[in-house]
Amino acid sequence: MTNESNQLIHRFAVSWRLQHLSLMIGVFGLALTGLAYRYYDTGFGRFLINLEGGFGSRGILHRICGVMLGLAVVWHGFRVIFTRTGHDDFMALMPEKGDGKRWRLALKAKFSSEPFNAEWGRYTLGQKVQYWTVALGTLLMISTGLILLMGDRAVAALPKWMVDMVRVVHGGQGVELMVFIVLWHLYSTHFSPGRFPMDASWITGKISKGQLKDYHMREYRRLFPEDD
Amino acid sequence: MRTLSLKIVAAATLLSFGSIADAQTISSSDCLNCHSDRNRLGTSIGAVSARRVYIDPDEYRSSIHNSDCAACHPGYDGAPDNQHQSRPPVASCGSCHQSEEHDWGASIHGRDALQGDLKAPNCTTCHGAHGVRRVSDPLSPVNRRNLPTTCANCHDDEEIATEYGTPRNRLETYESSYHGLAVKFGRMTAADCASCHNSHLILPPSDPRSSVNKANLPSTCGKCHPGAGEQFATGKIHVSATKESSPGMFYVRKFYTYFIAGLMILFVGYIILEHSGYARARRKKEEPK
Repeated sequence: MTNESNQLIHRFAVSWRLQHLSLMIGVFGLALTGLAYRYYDTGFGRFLINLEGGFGSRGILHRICGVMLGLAVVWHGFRVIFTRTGHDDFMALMPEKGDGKRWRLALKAKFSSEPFNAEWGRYTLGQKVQYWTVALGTLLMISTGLILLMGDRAVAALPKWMVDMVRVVHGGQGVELMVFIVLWHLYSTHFSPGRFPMDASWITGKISKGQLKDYHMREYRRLFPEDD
Repeated sequence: MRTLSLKIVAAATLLSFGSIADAQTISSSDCLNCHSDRNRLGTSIGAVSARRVYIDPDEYRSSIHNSDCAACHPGYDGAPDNQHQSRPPVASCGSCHQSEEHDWGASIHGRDALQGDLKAPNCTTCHGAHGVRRVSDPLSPVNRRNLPTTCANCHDDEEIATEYGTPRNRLETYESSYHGLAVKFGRMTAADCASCHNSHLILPPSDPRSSVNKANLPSTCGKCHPGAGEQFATGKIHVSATKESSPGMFYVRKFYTYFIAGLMILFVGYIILEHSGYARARRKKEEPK
C-alpha cells in the first residue's frame, strides 16, 4: 500500500512547466526591479538598486523581464486555445458547482482534528483562485505597464491624471500580486504542512498517488477508476 | 639730449600711471589678504554693528567670477593694504547679464524685490554671491541636481507659504514624480523646476504670460514631450495623493493599502490556522488509543 501511494504519476506537461518557469523568472525579475523603484528611498530599495547595477540598468532589467512575462502569457494563450492538453488544463481551472461548499467544509475541518478529504478535482478552489488572481492581475500589470512604456505617446494621448493613475495602479497591483504569490502560492508550495522543503511537482511534473488521493480525490478517481 | 628728455618724460608718465593704478585698482589677492581671515570684523556703520567680513578663498577661487573683485565691487576707496571705510558698492549683475536681469525684473521675484521686499529673491539668493558657478557645474546651487532644494529653501518654508500664499509640498511632489526621480538617479535630461517655470522670468500660473499658465502648459510640456496636448495638461502637475488635491488617486491608493493589509492579515491567519490544525491532528494520531 505504501509503495503504491508513493508511486509517482504524471501531472504537469513539459510545456506547462516551462510556461510556469518563464512566468516565475519574469514575475520575480519584475518584482525585484519594481520594488527597487517603489521603495527607492528606503534601505531595502537602495540595496535592490545596487544589486541591479544602478537605477538605469534597473529600468532596463524591468523591461526585459516584462517582455519575458509577455512572451510567457502569449505562449500560455496559444497553448490554451490551440492544444487539447492546454485547453483541458485551462478548463479544469474554471470554478465549478460545489467548489464553495467544499471550501466551507475544508475550512471547518481545519478547526477540528478529524481527518477530512474535500474531494477536490484536478485543482482545489485555492489553486483556482491563485491562478485567476495572478492571470487577471498580470493582464492589468501588462496593460498599465505598456501605457507607461509608451512614454511620450501615452502623454500625447492621455490626460496627465490618467497617466498618474496608471502609475498608482501599476505600483499597487504589483505589490498586491507579490503579497498574493509569496504568502499564499509560495507558502503552500514550501511551508504548508507536509510540503517542506518543497512540493517538487512544478519541476518534476509528477505527484504521488497518495498525495493525489489526499488533495485531489476526484482527479484520482478520474485517472484510476479501477481502484474504486 | 632729446633722447634723454624723452626717457624722463616716459619714466615720469609710467610713474604717474603707476600711482593712479595703485589708488584705483586692486587685485583679488589684495582683498583676500583681509577677507580670508575668519575672525576679521568690518566697521560698524551707524546702529549696525560690525560683522565678520570673511569670504571663503577656496569658494571664491573656484567660482566662475574668480578673477576680479572690482568687477562686482567697483569704486574701492582705499589702498590695497588699507581698510576701506565704507562698503564697496555692489555692481548690478545686469551690467554683464542684461537679459537675465531684464527677465528677473519682470518676474514675480524681481517685481517684489524691486518694490523693496527684502524677502524676495535676487540673483545671489539662487546663485550664491562669492561662489557663483556655471549652471553645468554639479556644485552650483542652480545645477539640475541642486535646483529643487535651492527653490525649496523658500518654497518649502511654512512662513513664506503663509505670507505669500504660495502652494506647499512643491519639493516633495517634484521628487516623487518621474522628473524628480530621473534627476535624482542621474538622468540630467529630465525636467527640473526651471524647465517648466523658467529660470528668470518666473511668473505665477495666474499670469497669462506664465509658462505654467493653463493655456501655455501644452507648449511648455511640449518642449520635451512632443504631442503633449491640451488634454494632457488638464490634470494637476504637482500631484500629491491627498483627499483635497487628487481624490481619485487618494482613494485608489487607500484601496490598495487596505486591500494589501487585509490580504496579509487573511493569509497569516490562514497559515496559523492550517498549522495549528495540522499539529492538533498529529497529536491526536500519536496519542495512545
